[in-house]
Amino acid sequence: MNKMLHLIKGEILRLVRYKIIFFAVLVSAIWVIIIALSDEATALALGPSLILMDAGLMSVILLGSSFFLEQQEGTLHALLVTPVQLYKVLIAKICSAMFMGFLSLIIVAGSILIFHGPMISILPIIFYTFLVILTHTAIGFLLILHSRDFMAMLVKYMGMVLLFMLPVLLVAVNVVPDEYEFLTLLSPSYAGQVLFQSTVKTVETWKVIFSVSYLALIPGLLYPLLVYKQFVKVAIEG
Amino acid sequence: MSNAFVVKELRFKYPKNNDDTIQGISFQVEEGKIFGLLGPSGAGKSTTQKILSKLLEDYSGEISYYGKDLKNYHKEFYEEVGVGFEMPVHFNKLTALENLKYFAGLYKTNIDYIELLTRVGLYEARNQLVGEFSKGMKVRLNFVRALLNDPKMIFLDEPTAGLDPKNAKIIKDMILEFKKQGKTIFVTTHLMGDVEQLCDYVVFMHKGRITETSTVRDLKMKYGKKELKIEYYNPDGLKSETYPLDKIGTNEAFLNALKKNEIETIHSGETTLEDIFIKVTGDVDNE
Repeated sequence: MNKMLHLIKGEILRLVRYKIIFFAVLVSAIWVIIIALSDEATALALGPSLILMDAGLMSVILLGSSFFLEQQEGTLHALLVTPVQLYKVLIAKICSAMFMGFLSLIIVAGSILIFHGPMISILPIIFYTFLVILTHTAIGFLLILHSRDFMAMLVKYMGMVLLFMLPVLLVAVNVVPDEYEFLTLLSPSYAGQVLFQSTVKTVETWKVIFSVSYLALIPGLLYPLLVYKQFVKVAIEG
Repeated sequence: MSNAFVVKELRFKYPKNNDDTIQGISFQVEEGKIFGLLGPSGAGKSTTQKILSKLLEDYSGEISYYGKDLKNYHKEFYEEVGVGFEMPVHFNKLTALENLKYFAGLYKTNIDYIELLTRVGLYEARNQLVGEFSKGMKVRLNFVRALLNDPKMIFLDEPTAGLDPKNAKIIKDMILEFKKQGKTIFVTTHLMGDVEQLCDYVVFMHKGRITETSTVRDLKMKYGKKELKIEYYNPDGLKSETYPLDKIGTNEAFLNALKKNEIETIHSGETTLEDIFIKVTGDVDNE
């Protein structure tokens, strides 16, 4: 447990030194300005999307930039010759993404509370943020670990964002007929969006249950079956 | 003395290669000694070191570490093993001290790394970001990092590469001190001067095979010429003569030359390790 905490502290210290946390907070600060300038209804409509953007999508970019910087330095390879198991290193990296995601949640949700009053269900949003980060980092790690550098990862990431956000856009412009709306929940980002929306307004229960199960299933399968094996492979190859 | 490592018929093939990179090599690494693994580029030195340090596992043959199959060791192996990579690996945005604290925190036991930093001349720069370090400073920090857990088995890949003679001597002196403390050191290097000064035992590798195994002294005896060359001035100018070392004490011609002339230089026919390297690997090091 002490080593785990040590690894997490090390990850967060590096996020600070690489200025990754600085940029994460900077992006959140932009959301704060938008929330402050919006009326109550707009803030409530925007809030879930902004939290999803930071916790789900930005966390992948920030994790990727940190990972490729470390790969350049060869430090992941150096950890192989220490007594620390690599799964702990991976968990520490996920925890650092959690740290950034929750930092952003505090800033965005906090600004909604400050400027527009207590309209968000706090406990559910914490749980949903946890699920969204876990899912998006699992998918993000797959992109990162199968890319040779940060630019290659960005190209794949853009494809992922397009794929995941398309259902969100289609629903927003009412292109998706009601009977096919359930298919849009197969986008993890849309499932996350639905969960965040449920903290500020009423959402059908089946959608919440499906989204929670789906977002728990993705990391539950990806981390042990694909991500960890590729993580070990990349660490050994340097 | 027991053996730290016993390697028998070791073979290894990278998945993408057609041929074995390591082609059935056998050797022993004696506890408390400095073992040198030498050879040209692509000889299989780094692969061998990676296998012994458990970075590569899909090998055939037998490797035992202190009598136990290496495959039966897990992460606890690294509590007593230190590995210094050829390319220094550090977090560039952390200071030297932060780097050492981070890696030290991963072990159960730690050496006094402040003392080591002082020994290698980095104490004053301990709070400086490693990204601002010169190559030599990074190499020295890399050396300290490999020793953080006070290991009894140390792997060092080119430990003095990129260092000026003064700092290289400090590192070599420390390596010799570790040997005196009973630690076993496995060195991979191209610097034959380092090999002569450090290694008790050397193995030359070429194309995945061992081409020579011996002590530095025995290699020099084997490949050197057993002769003595003297240079002296006489009225005709500088002259040089060569005599066989065999029964040199009773060689009248040699003794007369010593008595009658003002000797300028005397050289034995001892060969250099560079020459031995080229002879036993059949190749000029181009790495």
